[in-house]
Amino acid sequence: MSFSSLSFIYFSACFFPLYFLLKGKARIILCLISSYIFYGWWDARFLGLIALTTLIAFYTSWAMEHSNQHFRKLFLGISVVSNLGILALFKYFGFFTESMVEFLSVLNIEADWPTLNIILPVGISFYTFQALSYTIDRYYQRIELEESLLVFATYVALFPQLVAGPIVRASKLLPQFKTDHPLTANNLACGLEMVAWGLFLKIVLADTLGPVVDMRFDNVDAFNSFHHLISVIFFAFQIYGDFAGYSLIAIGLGRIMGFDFGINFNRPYFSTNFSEFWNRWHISLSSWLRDYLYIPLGGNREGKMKSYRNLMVTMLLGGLWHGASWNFVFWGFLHGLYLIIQRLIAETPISTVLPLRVPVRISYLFKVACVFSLTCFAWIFFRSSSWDDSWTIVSIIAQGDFSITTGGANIATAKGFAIIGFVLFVDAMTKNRPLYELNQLSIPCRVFAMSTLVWLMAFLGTFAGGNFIYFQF
Amino acid sequence: MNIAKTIAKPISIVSAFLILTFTGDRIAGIALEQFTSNSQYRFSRLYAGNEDATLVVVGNSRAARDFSPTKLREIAGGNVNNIGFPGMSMSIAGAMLLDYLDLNQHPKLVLIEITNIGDPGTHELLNNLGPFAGQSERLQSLMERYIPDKAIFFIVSHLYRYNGDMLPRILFSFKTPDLDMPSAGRITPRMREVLATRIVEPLDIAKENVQALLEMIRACQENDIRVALVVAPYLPIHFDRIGNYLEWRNDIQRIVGNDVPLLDYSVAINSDQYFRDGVHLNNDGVDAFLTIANRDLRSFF
Repeated sequence: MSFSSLSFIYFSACFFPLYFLLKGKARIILCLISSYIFYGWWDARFLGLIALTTLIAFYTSWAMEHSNQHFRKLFLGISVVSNLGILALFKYFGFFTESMVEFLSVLNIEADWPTLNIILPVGISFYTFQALSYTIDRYYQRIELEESLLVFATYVALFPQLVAGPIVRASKLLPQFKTDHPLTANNLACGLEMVAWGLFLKIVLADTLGPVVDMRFDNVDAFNSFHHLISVIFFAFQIYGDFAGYSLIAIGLGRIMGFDFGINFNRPYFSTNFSEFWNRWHISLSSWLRDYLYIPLGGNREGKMKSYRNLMVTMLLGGLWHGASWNFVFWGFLHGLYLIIQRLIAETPISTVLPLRVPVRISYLFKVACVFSLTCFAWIFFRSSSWDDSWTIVSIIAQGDFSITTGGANIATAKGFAIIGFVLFVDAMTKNRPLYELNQLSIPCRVFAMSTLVWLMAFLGTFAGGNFIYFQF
Repeated sequence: MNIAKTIAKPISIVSAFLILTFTGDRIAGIALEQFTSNSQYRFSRLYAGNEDATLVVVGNSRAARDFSPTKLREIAGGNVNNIGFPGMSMSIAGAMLLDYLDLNQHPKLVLIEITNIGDPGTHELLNNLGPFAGQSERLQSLMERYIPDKAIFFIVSHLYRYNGDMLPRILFSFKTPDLDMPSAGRITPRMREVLATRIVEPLDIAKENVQALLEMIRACQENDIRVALVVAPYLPIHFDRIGNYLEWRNDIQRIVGNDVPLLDYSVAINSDQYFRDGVHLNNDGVDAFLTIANRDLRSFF
C-alpha cells in the first residue's frame, strides 16, 4: 500500500494506537507482523523472499560470532553471495541474458537463451542492502551481535523504510530497538510535519510534474527543444519530489514511532560540486556505496588512478543498482565522470590559470547552475525508455528550436514552475536547519505552516494515486 | 487532573490547526469563487447570468473547436455563446445547457453537436468543473453520481474545487472572453498513414445520453427556442472507417423525431488541408465549414 493511499490511513489508524499501548517484545512483534502485512499488501508472494534474506543475514552473522577468522570470511561470503545472488536473479537475470545475446549477435553468434519473466519484488534492492550492512559490519566487528531473530527481522522489515528506503544501517537502527519509545509531543509533532512536507513533495511537486514529463518522454519525436528542456528540468524535480517525499514520510513515520532514521536528502540541487551532490542526494545509498564498496576497493588511498577507478566502479554499480538497463549504467558512468573531472579540476586550481575575481554569490550561483545542468543531462538517460530515445532527446534539445506553442501545455508548464519555485524558496529559506525540524519555531508558526501545506495540497495536489518512482528499484 | 493537563495542550493545538485550516479553506474558497464569477471565461459567464446570445452551441471538442463564435456572429446576427468543451459528455452538456437557460436570456437557436452521445467513459470533465459545483445543483448531482469521492472532497474543501485545469483558464480569460478555441495544425503524411490504418470504433448511443439529449430538446421546445442537432465534419479517411455512421445517424433522428432537424456535415469537407486530426478542423477548416453551413444556419434566424 502506498503512503498516499486510503488503505494506508486505515492501516495507520490500527497500527499506531496499538504500537503505543504495547511495550517490549509485544511491541516488536506488532511491528514485525504489521511490516509483513504492509509488504504483503504489495505482493504476498515475496514475503518468503524477505524472510529468506533476513534468515541468511542473521544466521551467517551468528555463525561468524562463533567461528575463527577463516570461517568468518566464509560466512561473510555466503551472506554476500546469496543475498546479492537473489538480487541478481530477480533484478538482473533478464538484463544480463538479453545483453549477452545482443553481444553474441554482434559477433555473429546466435544464442537462444531463456529469458524468464521474473517479477521484481518491491523494495528488494533496499532491504537486501540493509541486511548486508549488518553482515558486513558484523564481520568487521563494528557492531554487536543481535541475539534476537525477532528484533533483527523487524529491523530488516520495518515498514516505514522497507520498500523505498532510507537504507538504515544496523549500527544506527538496531540499538534503537533496545528501548521502548514513548509517544512524545515533540516526536509526534516533528513526525507529522515531516509526513506533511513529504506528502506535499509527492502529491504536489512530483505528481503535478509527472504527466508533463511522461507525455514528452513517451513521444520524443513530437516535441521541440523547448518542451524537452522543460521536461528534463521537470523530471529533475519530479524524481526529487517523489523520492525525497517518500523518504521524508518514512522518516516522519519512524519519528512518530520514536526511531531516528537519519536524513536521506538535504537540498541536493543547491550543491556546488558533485561530491557535495552525492552527500545530499539519496544519502543512505551513497554512504552505503562509499563505506561498503568504494572504501574496501581502496578509496583514494592508493593513488590517483586507482581512486578514479574506484570512483567509476562505485558509480557504475550505483547506476546498475537503480535498474537493469544500460541507461542506468550510463547514468552512473556520467556521475562517475563528473566526479573524476571535478577531482582533476580541484587539483589544478582555476585561479592559477584564470586569475578572475568573481563575487562569491555569482560564483555560487554559477557552480549550482553547472551542477544542476550536468545532473539534468544525466537524468535524460535515467528517465528515457531506451538508449535511442535518450540520444533523440539530446539531439532535439541541441537543435535549438525553442519556439513556444500556445495551448494547455503551457498552463501545466507555468503551474509546474510555480510549484518548483515554491519548493526551492522553502529549501533556500531553511538551509541552515533541516526543513522539517520546525520545533525551533513557535507553536502558532508551526500550526500556520502545517495549515499552509494542507491548503496547498488541496489546491495543487494530484490525487490520482501515482506510485513512487523508487518502488521500481 | 494531570492527565487532563497533559492532553489539554495537544488537543488545543490540534483544534487550532483544524479551525485555522477549515477557516482558511473557506476564505480562499470565497475569494476564488468571487474571482471565478468576475471572469470572462465561458463557464464563468454562464453561471454569472445575463448572457444575451442569439445562438448557443453545446457539445464536446468538435463543438468547441469547429463552431467559432466570432465567425458565427455574422450568421446569427448577434452574440454567440459556445459552451462546448473538450471531453464534454451529453450528460454534462445537458446540465450546463439547462443551467444556461435558467440563468441567462434565451437564445433563438441552440445547436447541439451530437457525437458525444456515445459511451461517456469516465466523465473526466466533471473532475475539472469543481469551480462551478457550488452554483449548479445539476452538476453536483452528476458529480455525486459519477465521481462520488471527489464530490465529497468538493464539499469538505472549497480550495480543492479549484484544483485542476479550470482555474488557469478562468485566470487567462479574466478580462477577455474565450470565444474561439484556436485550432492550428495540419494532417502530415505520417499522420495520414496512421489514420488510414487505425481502427475506428463504431459510433454508439448511450441510454443516459439519450435522456440528456431529450431533456435539452424538451427544455428548448418548452421555451420556444429553436433547436437543431448537428454533426461536424470528419476527415474523409477517418469517416470511411467508421462503418456504421448512417445507421447511427438514422437511429438518432428516429429517437428525437422528425421535428428536430439534424444538420449532417460529416462529409462536408473533403480535403485534408482543413483538418488537424481525424475529427477536428483546423482554423482554415472552420472558415470553410461555416461558409458551407452559412445558408442552413441563416434559415433559423
